[in-house]
Amino acid sequence: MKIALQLTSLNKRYDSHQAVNSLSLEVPEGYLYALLGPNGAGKTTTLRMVAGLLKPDSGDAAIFGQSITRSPSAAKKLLAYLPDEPLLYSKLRPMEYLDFVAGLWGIPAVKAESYAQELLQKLNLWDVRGDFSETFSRGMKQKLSLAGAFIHQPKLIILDEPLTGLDAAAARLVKNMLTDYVQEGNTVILTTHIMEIAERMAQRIGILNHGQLIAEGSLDELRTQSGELGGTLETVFLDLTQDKDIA
Amino acid sequence: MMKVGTLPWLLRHDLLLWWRGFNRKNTTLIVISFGLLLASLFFLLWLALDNIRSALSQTTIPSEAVAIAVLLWVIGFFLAFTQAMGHSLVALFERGDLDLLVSSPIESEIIFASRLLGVALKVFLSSCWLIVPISLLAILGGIPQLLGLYPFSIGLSLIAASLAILLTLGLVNLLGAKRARIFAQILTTLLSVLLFLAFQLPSLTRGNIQIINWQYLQAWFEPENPLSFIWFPVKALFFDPLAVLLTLLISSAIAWLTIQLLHRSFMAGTQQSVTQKHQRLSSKEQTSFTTSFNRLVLNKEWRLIWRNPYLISNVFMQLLFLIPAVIVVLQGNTSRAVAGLPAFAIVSSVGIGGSLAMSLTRICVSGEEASDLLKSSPANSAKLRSLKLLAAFIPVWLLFSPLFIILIVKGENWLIPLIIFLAATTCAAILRLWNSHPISLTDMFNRRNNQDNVLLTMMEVLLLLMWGWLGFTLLHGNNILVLIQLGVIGLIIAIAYGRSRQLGTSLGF
Repeated sequence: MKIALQLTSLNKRYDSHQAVNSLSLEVPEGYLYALLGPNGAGKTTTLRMVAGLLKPDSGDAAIFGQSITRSPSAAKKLLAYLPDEPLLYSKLRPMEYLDFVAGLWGIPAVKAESYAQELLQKLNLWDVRGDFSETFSRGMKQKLSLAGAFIHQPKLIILDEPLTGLDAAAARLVKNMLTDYVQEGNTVILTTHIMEIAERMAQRIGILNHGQLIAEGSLDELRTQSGELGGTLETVFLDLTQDKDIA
Repeated sequence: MMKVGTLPWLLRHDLLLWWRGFNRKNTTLIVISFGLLLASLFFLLWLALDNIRSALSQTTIPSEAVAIAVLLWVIGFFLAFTQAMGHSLVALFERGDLDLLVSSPIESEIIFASRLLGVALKVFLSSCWLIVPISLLAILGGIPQLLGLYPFSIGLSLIAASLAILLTLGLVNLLGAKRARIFAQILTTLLSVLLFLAFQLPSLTRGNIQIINWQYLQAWFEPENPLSFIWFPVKALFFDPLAVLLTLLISSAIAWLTIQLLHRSFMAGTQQSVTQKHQRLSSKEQTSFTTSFNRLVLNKEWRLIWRNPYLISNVFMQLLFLIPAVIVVLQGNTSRAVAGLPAFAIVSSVGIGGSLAMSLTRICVSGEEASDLLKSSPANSAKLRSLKLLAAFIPVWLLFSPLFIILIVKGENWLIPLIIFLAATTCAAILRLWNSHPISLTDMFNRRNNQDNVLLTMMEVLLLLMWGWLGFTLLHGNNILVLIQLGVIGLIIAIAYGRSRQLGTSLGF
């Protein structure tokens, strides 16, 4: 099995604060991986380093074997990154936005155009395709941003809090899209504070605290590590992170 | 302790937020500049003190004093109104705390009154940096009449705040919250430009136009004139007791009336800004995907500028500020042999074209809304930046192309102005790129959020001046001076490049 993402001794420090501390991690291809952690644990910093938005102080991240520091262009071709704040242009219409994103990833116009239409219909944005994204609600913006991630059909999608601001129907739609995408053999890594999402969707879960990976595995493996056999992910998570805090 | 939920309590909250909104980064620089300004002001006033004292001791106010007072009132009102418009926009649309206040049990009248008085107080406090030293000096110099500046300024601030809020809310009713905001922003800039151009008028016309007959105005001031009472706001400046009373009473009455009449529509207007469904554009419009990456990036940049009337209006209104400078330079050259179309082409294309190229580069580069998207994409950053620069150049080059076509058709020297224009706009945009920091499009023309490096900004201006001077020297044909000027231009570019490398870039792409 191929490794979709490999982090090797990744470090990042902001002044005196060690945001990510010697983080090593492997995510196999075809998995939905949930990265959990309390606020300030280093999740977003890790994802931003993986996406090439932040330069690690040391260590490396490889996407399907392509180093984000040594061959960024090749690595980024395989990757889509969705931060919690949608990356949109206020005065562009959805199709214009998708046209631009597809162009950035070098997707042929004909292929991108038909897929863009399909995505907008699937995400219930087709009827508002004539509007500027500045007029959209938070949920609509999030969905358009997601369409931007899917338009270039990356092999790995990393999402930071992807369900923030979505209503129940939209959240289910996005969850289904991500699950389907993984079933097609692609890889999804997401961060979330909603334990039920990680519990239901993720095949593997990593728990970060103080920039370090304190536990990793399937839910059952995490239960064993925490000694909370039969416990929910929430109890396992709290047990692991609070223990670490006290220690 | 102030009672919570009262007007003074809300006013204090409003002023606190305003005070904290100031950029404290360059506090030392601001304090030093302010100190130097005050010292110069004190010195000038001290020199003028004897004249002012003798003028104000006379029974009738001399025409010079009338002229100054009328000018002060007109300028003061323009400045106060422009400022009040800006503060109204922040208070009504930008700060985003109205929902919280409206959902609280505080009466709408009190909320609205706190916003209006807040705007008036901010305008008044901003004028205090000038009024306080003048009044201190007036007391020391035995001219207590000048204490009239306080009621004069309070009256102006209250009237300007009332009118600004009235206009802003009127625009909301007419155009809707979103368009009203853009319109008000444009109006604010336009007022500043008009004021600036009005100041420049005497120098532009070389004193050929006398706009106001001061002797005639003085006659209106004399007590025998039955209509002299209408000058009470200006008379208040000289601490005329009746005028002071009338100024304070009438301005307070205007503010009170505005509050009484508008507090309900204020609620409706602010709610509209939150709840109004935006007007739909035609959903049938087809977007054909672009095959060329270069065209894709250029289209995206131009669409974003073209669809933002606030940006366009600000860019072009910035250019209006340069018109007087261009005219003055050309007037200075009418006696020289090089005067004429080529000289005009150089001055206007370097001055206006260079500034336009810098403004557009600032919008395309600093105003990038999704820099993380660009950085996380495999697209080449250097190519993206070059395309963004091209997106800034092309409209400027197109705008000025008729000028060069005229030069060619008329058989004038076109090659030198064209080379200078292309070089100046290119250099100006590149230097702007080196001095770029991410900034939101709404803050693009807000100087308070300016993070530009002072040295690099100076180099930008110096470079444009040097290119303009080089153009004139080339028209004269002085080869040695041309070589020296090219050397200086090279040195400026080298210094700017070195400084930009030293500072690094905070752009995401």
